[in-house]
Amino acid sequence: MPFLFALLPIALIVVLMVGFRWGAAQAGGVGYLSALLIALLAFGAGPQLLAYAHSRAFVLTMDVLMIIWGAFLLYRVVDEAGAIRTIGQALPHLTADKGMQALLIGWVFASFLQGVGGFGVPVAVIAPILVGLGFTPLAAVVIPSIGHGWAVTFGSLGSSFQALIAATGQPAARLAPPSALFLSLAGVVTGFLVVHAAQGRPAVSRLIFPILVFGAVMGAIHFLVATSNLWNIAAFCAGMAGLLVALPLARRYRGEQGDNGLLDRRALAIAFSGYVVLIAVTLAVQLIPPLNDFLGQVVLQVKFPEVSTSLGYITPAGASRKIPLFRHAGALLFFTSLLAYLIYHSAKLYRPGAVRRITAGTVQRVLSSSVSITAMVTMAVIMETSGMTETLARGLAEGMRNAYPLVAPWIGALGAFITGSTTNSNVVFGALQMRTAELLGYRVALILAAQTAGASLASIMAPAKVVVGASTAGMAGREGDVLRKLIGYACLLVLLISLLALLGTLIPE
Amino acid sequence: MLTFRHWLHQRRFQAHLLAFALMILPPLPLYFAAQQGANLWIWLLIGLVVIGNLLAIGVP
Repeated sequence: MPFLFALLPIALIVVLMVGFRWGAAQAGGVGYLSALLIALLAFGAGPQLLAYAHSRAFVLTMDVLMIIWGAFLLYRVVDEAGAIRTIGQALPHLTADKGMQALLIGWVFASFLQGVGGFGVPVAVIAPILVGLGFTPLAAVVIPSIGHGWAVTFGSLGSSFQALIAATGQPAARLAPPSALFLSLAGVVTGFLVVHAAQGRPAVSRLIFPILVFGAVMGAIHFLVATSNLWNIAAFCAGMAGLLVALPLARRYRGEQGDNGLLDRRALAIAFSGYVVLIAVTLAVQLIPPLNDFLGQVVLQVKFPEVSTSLGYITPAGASRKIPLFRHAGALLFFTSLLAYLIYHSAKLYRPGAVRRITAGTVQRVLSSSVSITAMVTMAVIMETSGMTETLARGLAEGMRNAYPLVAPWIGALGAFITGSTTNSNVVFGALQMRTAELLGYRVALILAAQTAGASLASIMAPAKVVVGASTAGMAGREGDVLRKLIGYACLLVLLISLLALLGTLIPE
Repeated sequence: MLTFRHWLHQRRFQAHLLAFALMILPPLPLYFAAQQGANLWIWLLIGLVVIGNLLAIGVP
C-alpha cells in the first residue's frame, strides 16, 4: 500500500498529461498537491519537515531556472537580430542533395540549436525551412525531431544536466563521462536514422561517409567538452564543430540540380558572433583564475537540520549545493546575452523596440515552464524528504533486480514523454533512480546516465514537443501521424541506451 | 465555472505570474518559520504555495 501511495503523484501526472492532455504546469500542480497530502497523511510528514522541504526545493528550483531563463534570453537576443533566420537561410545553399540537406539542417544544425536554445526551438525553426526545401510536412517535422534528441541533456546550455545534478547531489565530474558517452554514441546512430527518415535505406548507404564523419566529430567534441567541466556548452560546441566540418563537406554533394547556390559568408559570420561570445565568456571564466575567483565571491548555500517523519524516516542534516550567483551557468548566459546584444546593436541588426520585444518574449516563453518546474521540483523534494522516493525505490529494486539497468532508461523516457522535458524527468526521477541503484548495488553514475540519456532521446516524441513541431510545419491536427512516425525511431535509440547501460554494469569499475 | 476558466484563460500570463510568485516567495520565510518552530506561520505559508498550485491547475 505505501508503494501505491508513493506512486500516486507520478501516476497522476502521467494520466493527466497523456490521458487528459493537460499541460505540464497544471499536471505539476496536481502532482505537488497529491505529494503534499500523501506525505502528511500517509508518510507522517510534519510541518517542520514540509517547511524545510519547500526551502530545499526553492534552492534547487533557482539552480535550474537560472539556466533556463538565461538560455532563452540569449536565444531571443540572437533571434531578434535575425541571426537564426540568416543561418537557416544560408545552410540550404551549401548543398542541393536532399539527403545531405537532411543531415546538415535536420541533424547538425538541429543539434547546434538544441545546444543554444532547446525548448522545442530546433523543430520550430527547422521544420519550415525543410518544407521550403521541398520535404513533405511530415518529414520536415520528423527529421529535426530525431536529429536533436541526442543533444538535449547537454543542450539548452546544460539545463537538463544541471537538474540531474541538483536533484541527486552527485558531482558533475562523476555524472558527465557516462552520460556524455551514451549520448555521443546515440548521436552517431541518430545520423543514420535522420537519413533513413528523409530518404529511406538506399540514401543511408550512399551517405555513410558524411554520417560517420559528422557523427565522429560531434560525438568526440560532445564527450571531450562535457568531461572537461564545460558541460553546459558540450552540445553547443558539438553542433558548432559539426557545422564547421559539414560546411566544406556538404558542398561536395551537389544533388540532382548540380548547383548549390551562393553563400553570404559575412552575414553568416555576424549571425554566429553571438555564439562565439558565449564560447569566449565560458572559456574566460574557466581558464582565468582571478576572474573565476572574482565572480565566485557571492555564493548561495543553505544549511538544513536533520528532519524525520513520525514513521521514522530520517533526512540527515546537510548543506544545499553551492550556487555561485555570478559564476553560475545562468549568470554567464546573462553576461553573454548583454555582450551579444551590443554586437548586434552595433551591426544595426535591431529594429526599434527590440529590447522590449526581447524581454517580453523571454518572460512570456519561460513563465509557464517556470511554474511547471517549480511545482515538480517541490513535489520531488517532498517525496524525497518524506520517504516516498525511498519506498518507491525499494519497490522497484525488489521487482527489477538484475533487469534494472535495462529498465532505467525507460523510466527516464517515460518521465520525458509525460512532462515534455528532460529537465522535468531528471527532477522527478533522478533521486528515485539514484536510490534504486544504491539499493541494488549498481554504479549510481551509470544508472543516472541511463536516466538522462533515455529522457533526452524520448523527449522527441513528447506530445508537448510534437504539437509545437506540427504547428510550425502546417500539420496542426495531424500530431498523431508525427507521433506514430517518431515512436519507432525514439524507441530504437532508448533501446540502444538500455543495452549500453547493461554493458556498463558488466565492465568493472 | 466555465466562465471563470475563460476569464483565467484570457489572463493566462497574469495568472501564471501570480501562481509563480505564490510558489517561489514563501519558501524563504518558511525556512525561518521552521527554525523558530512557528507552526501556524508554516501552515499559512504552505497554504500560499497550495493556492499558487491551485491557480496553476486552474489556468486552461
